[in-house]
Amino acid sequence: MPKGYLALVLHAHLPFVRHPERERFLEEHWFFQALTECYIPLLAALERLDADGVATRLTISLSPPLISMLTDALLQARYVAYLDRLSALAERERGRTRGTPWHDLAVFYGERLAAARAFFDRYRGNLTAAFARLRDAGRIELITTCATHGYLPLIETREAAAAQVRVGVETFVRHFGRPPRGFWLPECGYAPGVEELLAAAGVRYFVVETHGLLHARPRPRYGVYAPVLVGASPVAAFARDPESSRQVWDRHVGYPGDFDYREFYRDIGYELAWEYLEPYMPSPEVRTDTGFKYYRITGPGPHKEIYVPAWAAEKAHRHAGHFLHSRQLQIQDLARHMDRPPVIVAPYDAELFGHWWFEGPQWLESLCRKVHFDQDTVAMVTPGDYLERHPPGVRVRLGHSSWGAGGYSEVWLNPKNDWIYPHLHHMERELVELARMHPEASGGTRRLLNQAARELLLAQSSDWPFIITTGTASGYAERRLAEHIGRFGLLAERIRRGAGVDAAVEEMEHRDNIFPFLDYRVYAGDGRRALRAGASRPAVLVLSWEFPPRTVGGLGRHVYDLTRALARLGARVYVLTAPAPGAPPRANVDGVTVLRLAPEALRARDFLAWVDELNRGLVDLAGTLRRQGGTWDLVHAHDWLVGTAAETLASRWPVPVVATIHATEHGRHGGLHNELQRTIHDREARLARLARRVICCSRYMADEVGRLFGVDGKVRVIPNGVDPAALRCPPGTVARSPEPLLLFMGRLVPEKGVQVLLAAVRLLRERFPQLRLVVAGRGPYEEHLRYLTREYGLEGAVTFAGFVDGAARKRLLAQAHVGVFPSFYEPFGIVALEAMAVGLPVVVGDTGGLVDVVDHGRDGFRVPPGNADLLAYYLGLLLENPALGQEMAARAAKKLVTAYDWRRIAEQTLEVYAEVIGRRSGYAASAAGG
Amino acid sequence: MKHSDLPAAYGDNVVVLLVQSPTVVFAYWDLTPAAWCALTRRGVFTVRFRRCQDPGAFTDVHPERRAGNWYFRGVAPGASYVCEVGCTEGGVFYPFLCSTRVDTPFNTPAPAAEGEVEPLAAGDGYEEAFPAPPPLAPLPGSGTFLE
Repeated sequence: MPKGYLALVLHAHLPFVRHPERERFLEEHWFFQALTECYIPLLAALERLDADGVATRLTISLSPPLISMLTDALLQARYVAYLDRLSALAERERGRTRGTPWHDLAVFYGERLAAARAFFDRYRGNLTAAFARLRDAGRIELITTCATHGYLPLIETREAAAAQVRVGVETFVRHFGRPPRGFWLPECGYAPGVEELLAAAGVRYFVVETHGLLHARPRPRYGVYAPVLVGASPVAAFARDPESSRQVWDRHVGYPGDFDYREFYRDIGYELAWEYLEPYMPSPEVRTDTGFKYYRITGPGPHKEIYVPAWAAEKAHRHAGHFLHSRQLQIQDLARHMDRPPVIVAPYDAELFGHWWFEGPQWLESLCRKVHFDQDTVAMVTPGDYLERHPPGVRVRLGHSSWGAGGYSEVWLNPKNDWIYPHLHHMERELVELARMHPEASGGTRRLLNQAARELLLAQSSDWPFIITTGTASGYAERRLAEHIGRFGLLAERIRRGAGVDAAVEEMEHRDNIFPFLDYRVYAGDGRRALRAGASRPAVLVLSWEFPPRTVGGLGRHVYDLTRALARLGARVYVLTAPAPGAPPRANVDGVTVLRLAPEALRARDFLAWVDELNRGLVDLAGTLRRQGGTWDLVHAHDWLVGTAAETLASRWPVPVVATIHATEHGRHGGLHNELQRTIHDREARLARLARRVICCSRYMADEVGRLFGVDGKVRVIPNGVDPAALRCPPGTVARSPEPLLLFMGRLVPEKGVQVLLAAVRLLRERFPQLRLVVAGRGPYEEHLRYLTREYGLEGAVTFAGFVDGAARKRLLAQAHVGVFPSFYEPFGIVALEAMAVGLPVVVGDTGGLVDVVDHGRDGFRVPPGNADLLAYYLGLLLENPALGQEMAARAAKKLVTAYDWRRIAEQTLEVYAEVIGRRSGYAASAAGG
Repeated sequence: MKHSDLPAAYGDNVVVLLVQSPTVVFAYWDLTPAAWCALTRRGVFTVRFRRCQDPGAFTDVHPERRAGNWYFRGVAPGASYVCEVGCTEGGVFYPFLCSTRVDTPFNTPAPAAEGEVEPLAAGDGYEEAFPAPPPLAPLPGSGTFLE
């Protein structure tokens, strides 16, 4: 029984360097050199271990760009040509060095090239098959990383970060048949929240740099020698052991610097005559490595002596023994202090082994043999295996960290490369917006969107800012960035103006052909999923106390718009509701079956007794529907008034319940002040607890509902929607007011903040003597507001319009210059959204659901409630700068389409349904995973 | 295509904060011409970097660029920050845009809980508790290894 474990993790990654535009391309040689010196020797070593029955257990991370290149027919063919060229060079080197001390080495390299070719041919050029075979033999655990090795801490939008994770996982699944248990964070770059993205992709663990875990809160009990759970997620973090890393990585004391090892920087590619080398070089202008390196490190100075492979092999064996001995001592010490076997996590870049450290694969093979044959203190393990044997017992919060120089983001963000982030973030925002504006693009638009997604992903590679920082190939990195950014711009422009695919776009598709399966909708956000054609649709029984033509508040209209949108997406929807004058007991409303109680079923005068009658009637109505053959997968209850019916129905015909809580009694009244309010509150709580998922219209409401009813984990936020067409006057029928006109609409109660608005208008009158304000609405606060108007001397400027009907509302929206809604409390703020829908710039209270509706400074302004000075400032800014208001209105219009249209809201609702009925009922995760 | 061929700004009306390290936060902003004109018409363009936990703790800078960036150095580890761009008029700052909040990471371990034995944190007593294994013969690097 081992006392502890060693988890070696090799991360294999190269940027996507496929260049079909030229026969030979310098940077493609990065890939070819890594194949020859690193990946094939590593695979060959692992195969020998497997053949000898050595119980090896390694973790290998394969990045999606590397997987894509390993499986690319063009690069496979070019690699064969590369090997042919180098084999020809080997032949010439044998001749050139004959009779010299270097001849044996020339022969040695020729034989290595032949072996590489044989290995490559054995797998018909596809080395992913070799990795898969070793995985299936139980010798390695394969994991993957972000789609293009995007450095997650510096990606701005959650959608773009999620896309990096999901496309990475999807690439892996497509090539290896099953999802990875683990995920390599590019550059070990962690930022809070990453664990949620990984959890959503089904990942169970990742690795952070040493201090990433040691600086966690609370302090991890076993330092870096046991995994921890991260945040509230089910995802575990392991951390790099500094000791084992130092022995291999450290540039001064690490094994690879031994004098007997091969000197990386002496290559005939830089030393022989150009005429001799030219046929073997990838570029007609640039010298590069050939792999023919004849010297050993020898010492710290420039003097180098000939490389002796046998001496180097002997050192590799000795270093493997030393490494193992060190781990044995380490584990013996650690095990004394721990209640579980310690795990030493030793992650390395795979390219270190064989490329930088030529003898690395020999060292690794020797280490595996020694672990297997020579001792029983240490066993090899993968992090995934360890988690199964020893689940983490500690939960921590991690801070941002990476394994780059300095330990954070200095390598990827500094004055040399910081110029890239405004471009990348702009691309992220633009693609998210475009994806939402085109939920079901087809044909050319779909191709443009998919290619735009590829260009963004390729631009996000962590390699580019890294290379710019190191300065080694910064010209290439800058050019690649500029090309991907430029191509994205061209694609976005074509999408916006509805243009199709042209020759330039086809050329982009040909060049940047990574991720052929990519579905741009991965950028549309968590709620946006791709429909799977032909799959089953959920059937839902909707309970609502109002439904048009019966509308008392906004709830009935919401249910009306939502259910019709659900039906359009293929859901089977029944609505059970109260009677309405003139409405038939059964009707089909745009695909929605609406069943109403008979008017005589509701006779009670007392409110709660009336509610009880309503609920009994809805249950009876459901029974009738059932007898007529109706079935449903779930019940969707809107607000507490139908809670009892939902409870009865869920127990009579067991199905899950989803509840939408539009507002709370506690929130409406700022607390519970009488018996009726407490009763309603109790019923809201009962419904919230009954429901498998609770939908709220804003993050504010979600917090409130979670806090009041203790149901945090099951609350989902889906906004209300608006239909701009229903709010606009016919074009040309109503003109904008010639004087500056502010518009408020809403109930006249203190929490709407009209008193603050009046104070702001008073401040503005000096600058805008013609300023007018229309206050549309009624309420108990009206008298006081009229009083304030007189007090402030605003009688001529303020009009109290009272209740306005739909037509008058449209006219006012068309006449006004700014909509002002300076609320103190607002669960959602539909009125602000309606103003935005008709192109009116808005200023709103920085509270409640308005925080979600208005993006401050971009599509409106938010003011701290009660701050008349700041409110006046923003109003003045908009009145004085019409162009600013127009820009904001234009942005708001886009947002209306992308975030608040009923189709999107219905899709998000279907996702919630899918969560509760336990199947992706007709709605698969998008083609890019999930 | 070259870096210099890319747009200098997009006019997104954004201000973004990125954490470079526990003590350095990078901000960039990009305003539309209309927003820039509106802001500078009456006051001085101002970038305010402030600590969320302490509204009185802020740094103002006044770069004269519609699109630009700034490194805020000497910030506190383990703290939350936002950046606002706006205008200062009559000594009063009026925020126009606000970044999302960022949290700087801690750069030290949390204090051990009372009574907790914490022998295993490398770099924090670990070296003393578990001395490094016997060294090999000197392993000089090539001097440029892994550069």
